[in-house]
Amino acid sequence: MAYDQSRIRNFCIIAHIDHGKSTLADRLLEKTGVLQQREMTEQVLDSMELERERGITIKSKAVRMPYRARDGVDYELNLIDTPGHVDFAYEVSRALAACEGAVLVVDASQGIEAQTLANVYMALDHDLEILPVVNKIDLPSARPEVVKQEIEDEIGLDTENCPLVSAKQGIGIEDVLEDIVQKVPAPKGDTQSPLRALIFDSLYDNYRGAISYVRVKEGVLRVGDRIRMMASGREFDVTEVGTLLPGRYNATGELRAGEVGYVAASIKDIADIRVGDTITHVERPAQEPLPGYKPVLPMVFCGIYPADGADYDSLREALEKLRLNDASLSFEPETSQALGYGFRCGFLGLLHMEIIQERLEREFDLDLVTTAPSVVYRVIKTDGEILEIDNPTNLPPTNDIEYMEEPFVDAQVITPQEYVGAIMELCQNKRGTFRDMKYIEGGRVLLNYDMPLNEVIFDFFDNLKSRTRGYASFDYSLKGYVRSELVKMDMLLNGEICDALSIIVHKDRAYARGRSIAEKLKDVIPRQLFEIPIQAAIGGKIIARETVKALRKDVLAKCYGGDISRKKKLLEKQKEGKKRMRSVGSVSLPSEAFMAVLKMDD
Amino acid sequence: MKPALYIHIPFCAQKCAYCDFASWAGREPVWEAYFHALKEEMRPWMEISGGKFYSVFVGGGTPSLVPAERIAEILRGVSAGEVTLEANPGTLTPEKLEIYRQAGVNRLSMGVQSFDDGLLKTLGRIHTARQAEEAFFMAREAGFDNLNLDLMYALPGQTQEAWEGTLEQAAALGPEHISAYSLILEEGTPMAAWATPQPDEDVNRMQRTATAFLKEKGYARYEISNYARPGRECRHNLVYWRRGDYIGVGCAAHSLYQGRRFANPDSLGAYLAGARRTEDAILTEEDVLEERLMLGLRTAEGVPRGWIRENAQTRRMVREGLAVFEKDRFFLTEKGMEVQDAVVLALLQ
Repeated sequence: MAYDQSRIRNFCIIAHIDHGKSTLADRLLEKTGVLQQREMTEQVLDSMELERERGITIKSKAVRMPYRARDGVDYELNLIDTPGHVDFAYEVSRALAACEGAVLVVDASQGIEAQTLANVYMALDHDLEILPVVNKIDLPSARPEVVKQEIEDEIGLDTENCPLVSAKQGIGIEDVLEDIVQKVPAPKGDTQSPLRALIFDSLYDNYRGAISYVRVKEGVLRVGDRIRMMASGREFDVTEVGTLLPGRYNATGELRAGEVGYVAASIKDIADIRVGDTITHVERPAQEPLPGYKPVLPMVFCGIYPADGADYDSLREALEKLRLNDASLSFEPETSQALGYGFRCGFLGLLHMEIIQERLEREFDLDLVTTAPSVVYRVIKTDGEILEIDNPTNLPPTNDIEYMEEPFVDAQVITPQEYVGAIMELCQNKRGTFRDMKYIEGGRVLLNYDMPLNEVIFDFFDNLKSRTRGYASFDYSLKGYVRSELVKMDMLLNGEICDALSIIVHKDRAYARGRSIAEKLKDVIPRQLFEIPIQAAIGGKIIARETVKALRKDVLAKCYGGDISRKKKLLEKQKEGKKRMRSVGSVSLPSEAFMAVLKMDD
Repeated sequence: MKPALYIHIPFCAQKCAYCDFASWAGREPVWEAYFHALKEEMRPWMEISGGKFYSVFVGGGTPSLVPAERIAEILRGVSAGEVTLEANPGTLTPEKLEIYRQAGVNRLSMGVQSFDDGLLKTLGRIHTARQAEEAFFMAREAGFDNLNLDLMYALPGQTQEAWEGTLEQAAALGPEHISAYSLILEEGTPMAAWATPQPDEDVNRMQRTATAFLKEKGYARYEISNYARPGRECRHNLVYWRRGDYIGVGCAAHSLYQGRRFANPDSLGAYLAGARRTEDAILTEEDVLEERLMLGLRTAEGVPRGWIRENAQTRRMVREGLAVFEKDRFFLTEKGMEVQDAVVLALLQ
C-alpha cells in the first residue's frame, strides 16, 4: 500500500487487568486478516509464557494491520500494545505518546477500576482520542448500560454509540475497527522536516542486535541513514527499517512521518536505546527532541544470590540476557556475609521484581535466594552530603545521619463501599495519609492516600486483596521524598548480625516488624546442636527476642553386620542439606529465612 | 591384628514386620547351595588367616533356623577369641546348642526384642516371651556363659511402663550383654505402612530409662545401643566402631579390609549366581576421617583427642554437656549421643 498519511491510524488499547485487552487485540488481528484463526494461539501479542499465565502484558509490542473500511478505503492501522501494570507506567506513557487514539476497554460486569482511571488520565495527558468499548457483554453478569453510564459520569466520555463487544465470542469487532478509522485522527507531521522518531520500546534480536520500536513523528527514516539518539548522544548506521507483523519483521527500507515500525542499527547494548529517546539524523538534525523523555529509575531493589555459590556466573549471564530485552533492569555485584556473592538488582516495582525472579528461576533454571526488597532512601548526612541508599547494609553510622527521607506515592484504591473501613484501617496501619474520597457508580468508592512506598512494597497489595476479597483495585505513582523517622533494624542470630536480614523501617513500626520477623525466623530455622537466640535490634537496643531450641534427637541408624552404608548415606544427605543452607557464624539458615522479612500477618 | 569374620545367613522362618535386611523365609531349597557358596567364598580368607580371626559373628537372618550341622560345617577350621551366633528363641533346642558349642561358638546373641507378647506379635516375631526365657535357660544349661539379649524400644503402642517391664525381665535373667535398639521404621516394610513413629521426646525417655536402669544393674553403655558387664563388651561389635579390618561373607555381607570397603550383592539370586564384591571402594582420606568420627563417637571410649580440633565449637559442646575432653580422649556424653549425627556433622565442617 502506498504511503498516505491520511489513512494511517495509530492507536493503543488500555484497560484494567483482566478486562480483555489482549483478547480484543487478537480479534482485531484476526478480523483484519493479519492472522488466520487457525494460526492463533491465545493472545498472540502476549508471547511470553509468563505474560499469558499471569494475564498481563510486560513488553510493549506493535503490529500493523491493513483494513478496508466500510467506506471502501484501505487503511493502515498500527496497534501498539502497552504493558498493563503500574510498574511500567513510563513505558505506557511512551507508547501512548506514539499514538493518536486509545481504545478504552471496560469490562461489562466489573466497570471502571483503578487502572482504568490511571490509564485514562494518562491518555488524556497525551491528547489521545479515547474510544470507549464495553467488553464481555456475553457474560450473564454483564450490565453494559450501567457501565456505559459510569464511563460517561466518571470519565466524561460519550458512550452513546460505543461498541458493545465480546472479544471472546468475536461480537462487535468490526464496530471497533470502524470507530478507530472514523474517530482516531490521522497522524500529522511533515515528511520534509528533520527526522524525529520516538522510541517507545526496544528488544534484543540475536541477528539484528538491539532493535528500537519507533513512531516517526516527522521526516523520513531510511536504511543507510546515520542516526543520533538525542538523549544518549550515541550515533549509529541504520541497517534495517520496516513495519511489524505478528512475530516477524517486514523490512520496507523506510518509515515516514506518521508510521510505526522498527529500526535496527547493529546496536550491541540495549542500554544505548532508551525508551522515550528521540532518533534524528546526524546530518540535518532536529532542533529539539520530542518531549517527555525521562531516564528510567528503578524504584525497588533487592539482593539476588545463587542458592549454590557455584552458580554465580550462571546468574550473571542470566541477568545479562534478561537485560538485553529490559533496559529498566539494573544490577551490580554485591557481597553479603550471609549470602556470599550475588547482585543488587533494581526494578521498576514489585511486579517487575517478581517477574525477573520468576524468569531467572524458570527460563534459566536457577535456584535463588533473594533478600527483602528495599526502596531508595535519601540520607542527609551531618556534613551535608546526600546519599541514596538502596541497601540497608550501606547505611552510614547513626551519628553521621542528620535525617532521612523516604519515597511517597499517590495511591488510588477503588473499592465497593462495604470495604472502605477495612481499607482505611489498612492504609492507616501502613502510615498512609488520607487525601480524599469520592463515591462513584455502582456503590463504589475512590480513595486517595499518600503512602510511603516501603509500606506499599511490603505486603500492602496482599493485604488489600484479602481484606476486600479481591474486589478492590489499586494503583500508585511516585509523588516525591518526605522526611521520615527511619531506623535500621538488624537481626542477630546467636549474637551476630546477619547482614542480609537488616531492613530500614519507620521507628513506629520497628517493634511490630522486629517481633514478627523474629517469630518467622524461629519457625523456619531448623533445630541445631545448640540453642539459637534470635534478636531484633535497633542500634544496640534489643527490641524482640525468640529462641530456636537445641536439637533433641536424631536418627541413630543401626549398623547391621558392619554395613555402615546407611549411616554414610544419612551423613551425606545431611551434609548436602547443610550445604544448601547459609551459615551465619555458627548458625545454619535455610533460604526461606531470608524471605521471613517479607511477609507479615497483621 | 587378625581381621574379624562375619558370616551372613539370610534365612528366616518368617519375615518380621519391621525388617528390611537381607533375609528371606521359605528358601529351604537353596540352603544347600548357599552354604556351599559360603564355604567357597571363605576358602581364600581361611588360607590367608590360617583360620584364625579376631572375632567371628554368624548373623542373619536367623542362623539358628538352619540345621546346626551346617553351622558346624561352616565353622570347621575357624578359630577366634569370640565366636557369636545369632539365635531366634523360637528355634533353639538343647541338641542344636550342643552342636554349636562343639563347633566353637562361645557367645549367643538372642533376638528377644520384647517381653510383651502383644508387642512380639505386632513385630511379627515367631516366639513368645515365655519361649525367650526358656531358650535363655536352655543356653545356660548348655554351658554358654556369654549371652546377649537384643531388645527393641520405641515400638508402636509401646508404653514407658512396658519398656521398663522388658528391661527388668531382661536384667533379671542376668545376661552378660544387652543391645537396645530404637525401632526405625524403614520405608517399604509392612510396619512402616501403618505405624507412626513415637514422638522424639518419648524415644529419648525410653533410651534414658534403659541407660539408667541397666547402669544400676551393672551394665555399662559402651556404645550408643550396647550395654555390657565389665569385660563382656562384644569384641566383634567394637571392631566395627574402631574400624578394625573385617571380612564379610555371604549375601549382602560387608567388609572393611586394607583400606577398602566392599560388599556382596543384596540379592540372594545374584549371590547364588556367583556375584561377589558388587560394591567395592577404596576409601579416600576424607572418607576415613569421616568414618572415624561417625563410628568412633558412637562408643563410650570416643576417639583420640588429637583427632578433634579444640575450637569455639568443641568448647561449646563441652560447655553444654554434649562432649568431654579427657586426657587423651574425646567422647560424647549421654546427652551428646542423643544427637550424635549432628555432632559429627558439626565436627566435619
